[in-house]
Amino acid sequence: MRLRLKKKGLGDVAGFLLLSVFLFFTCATSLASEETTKEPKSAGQPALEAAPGKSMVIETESQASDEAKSQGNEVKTEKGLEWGGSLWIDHRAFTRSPQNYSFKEYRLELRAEASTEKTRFASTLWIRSLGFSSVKSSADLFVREKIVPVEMEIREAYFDLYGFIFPWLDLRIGRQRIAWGTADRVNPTDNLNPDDLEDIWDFGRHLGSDALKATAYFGPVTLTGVFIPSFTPASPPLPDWAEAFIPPLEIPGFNLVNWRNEIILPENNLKSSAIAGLKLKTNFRGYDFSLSYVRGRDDLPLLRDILVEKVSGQEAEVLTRLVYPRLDILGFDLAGALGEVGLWAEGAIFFPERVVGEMAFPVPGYGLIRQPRTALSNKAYAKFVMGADYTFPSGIYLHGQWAHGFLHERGASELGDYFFFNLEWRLLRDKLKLIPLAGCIQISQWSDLRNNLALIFIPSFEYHPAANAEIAGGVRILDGRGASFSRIKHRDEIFLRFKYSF
Amino acid sequence: MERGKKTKKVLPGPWGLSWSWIFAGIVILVLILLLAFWAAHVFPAQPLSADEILKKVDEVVNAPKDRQARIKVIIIDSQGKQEIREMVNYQKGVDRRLVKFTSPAEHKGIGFLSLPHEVMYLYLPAYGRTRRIASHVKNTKFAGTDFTYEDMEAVRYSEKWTGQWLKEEGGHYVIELQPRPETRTQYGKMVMWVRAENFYPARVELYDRANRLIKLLTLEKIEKIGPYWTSRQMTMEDLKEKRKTILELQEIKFDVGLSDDIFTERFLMR
Repeated sequence: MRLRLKKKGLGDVAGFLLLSVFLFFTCATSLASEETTKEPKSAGQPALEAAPGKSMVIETESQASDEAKSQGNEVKTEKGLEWGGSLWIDHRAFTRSPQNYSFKEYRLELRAEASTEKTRFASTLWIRSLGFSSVKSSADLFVREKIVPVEMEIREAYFDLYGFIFPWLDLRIGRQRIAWGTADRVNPTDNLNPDDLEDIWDFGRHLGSDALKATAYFGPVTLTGVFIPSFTPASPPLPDWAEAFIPPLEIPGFNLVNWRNEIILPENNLKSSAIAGLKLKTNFRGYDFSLSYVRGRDDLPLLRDILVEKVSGQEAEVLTRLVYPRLDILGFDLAGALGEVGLWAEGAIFFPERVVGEMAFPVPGYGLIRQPRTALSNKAYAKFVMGADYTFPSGIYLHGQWAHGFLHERGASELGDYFFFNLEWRLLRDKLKLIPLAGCIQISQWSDLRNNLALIFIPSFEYHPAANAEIAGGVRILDGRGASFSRIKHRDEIFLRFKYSF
Repeated sequence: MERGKKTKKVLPGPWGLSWSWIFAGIVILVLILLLAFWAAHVFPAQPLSADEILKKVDEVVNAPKDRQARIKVIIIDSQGKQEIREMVNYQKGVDRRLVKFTSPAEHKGIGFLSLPHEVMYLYLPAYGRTRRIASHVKNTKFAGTDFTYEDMEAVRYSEKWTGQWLKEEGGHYVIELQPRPETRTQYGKMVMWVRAENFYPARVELYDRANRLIKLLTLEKIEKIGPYWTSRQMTMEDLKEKRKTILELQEIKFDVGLSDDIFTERFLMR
């Protein structure tokens, strides 16, 4: 057994070395090819230039004098370092008494970008203050973090190599967002980056992954391969909202007085931690189609073990263990139009690994009785989304989506149906956007609608008083019974948001 | 005596004709030319039909193989307040176009790609992916301007509209354009002023389906750049809301040899 482990370890190291050699080779070759293109042109000789996004042009001095052509014959994409970003201020408060604040975020987003003909660097950095002072004792007053919480996060930082080795191949290396799928925010095929559920009202947000992405373009066919060497779990919703995704742990007949949990991450090696994906995209009869496959992991933890450690009367102390099961995901999506109506559909079949945990309970005189529990069946299940949108001549935009299965749901029997709707009305030359009808209806069981329903209604507005400035506000109203979002129905809130881009 | 008289020797002209005949011929030819010139002014040639004018407009407006330009967008509201946006524009033929905003900051990086058969993509940097958009957006305003997506399309008028002659006025042919039955458009009709000297449109009145004049497009600074006529400034006026958008074309380049690779999602996302 020890020998086998050693062999495995050696295999992982070898894999890592191979990856490193490959990366080194690719970078070196690309840099070499850049050097070649930068060679000075000798006088009087025609210069031959070829680049992606640029046709091959033979330019001589005599041709350069031609009036039409002398005005330039290339698409210049070279840019020095450019900075930009935004300031984002988001305040929310519960509408129910005592109208406590529910959320506060001051976010400074800094973006930097630089590019040459064949390369591009881009990064996004968040510096932010999320939440409120958490001072609970006089000692806390000396902890700056507890007075003014501040954090910094590299959301993305990557570089691109265009036309890498072959003119049809692009490479992106570094922390990046790899957004797959054609649906709006609810994407069953978008499984490479971990979900960022910290703010559940900004669902669809993902963390960046440290990845290598290669995209090959063959005419109308695009083939994308992604390799993410290490696993990163999803960022869970803030505690006030977590109930929507994580059902409360209940042991019949007992009150949980002390609930501890352990998160078991995959082993930190290539075999256990790596995620890979492949996607083939093409266009046929005006529709975009893609097929994808991801060998990944569920980024939301699965409750595997429940160990009741101590029972005293009606009170129980519990230890739970959570894991991130392996998933193989086969995806499909399409986008196009039927007449003037925009249409999209996206679906994925999930093949989870079987996870068997244990349930332990102390029985007086017998000690801890353990029994196995199936935490996750390996039965495949499918999630899908279908949607359409249309803009009326009056400028009213209507958007609707039906999603079968949300990101936190696993197993065919657990999947609910979600109907998203959005009606927007742009006024004052897009300065004002009214969204009187927006939200979602969740139905978790059709056979008993009244007890398995949730409604989320979010009327709001966006106003752009001047260039780069945005003020938005609205209210979130939640109601229902039985469905997962009904668990947060007492958390109606109002919000006001300011954004300035620079 | 007869013998002593010196006879006048007449030199023969070419082809054995005497010079007097040749001279008379030249005079007649000049007179004919003068007559023709006069007649052309007094009795103008049969005017072109409206559809022929439309075809000539297409030939002139869509003559370049491709075009690359930096466009300054000036939006002026009813109180005269201005907003300025900038974008780069690539166009190949009449059915491939890519637009990318370079300013202001809130729009920077947003891209729009229009391909044949009404295939359109929008790229929003915040989402990190392109989004396919359907033709219902055609009648919506393009990025808050007074131009709709349809107005921004490069188009062969003669393929989508039929012409009807109205009049000639101040060096312009004035024609009315009616949509062909298969044409999808927000407009009921257009009235176009076409410059007689070069067949470049100078003014277009846009009517809604209820035959109300709603917008006015004026093409100014019409210049010949290289072999091509082009307008460096286009103004779209919304007559109902009393506001307008001016597109100023800067750094225009024609026949750059733009590759098809530019008109792809790959380039749109860069």
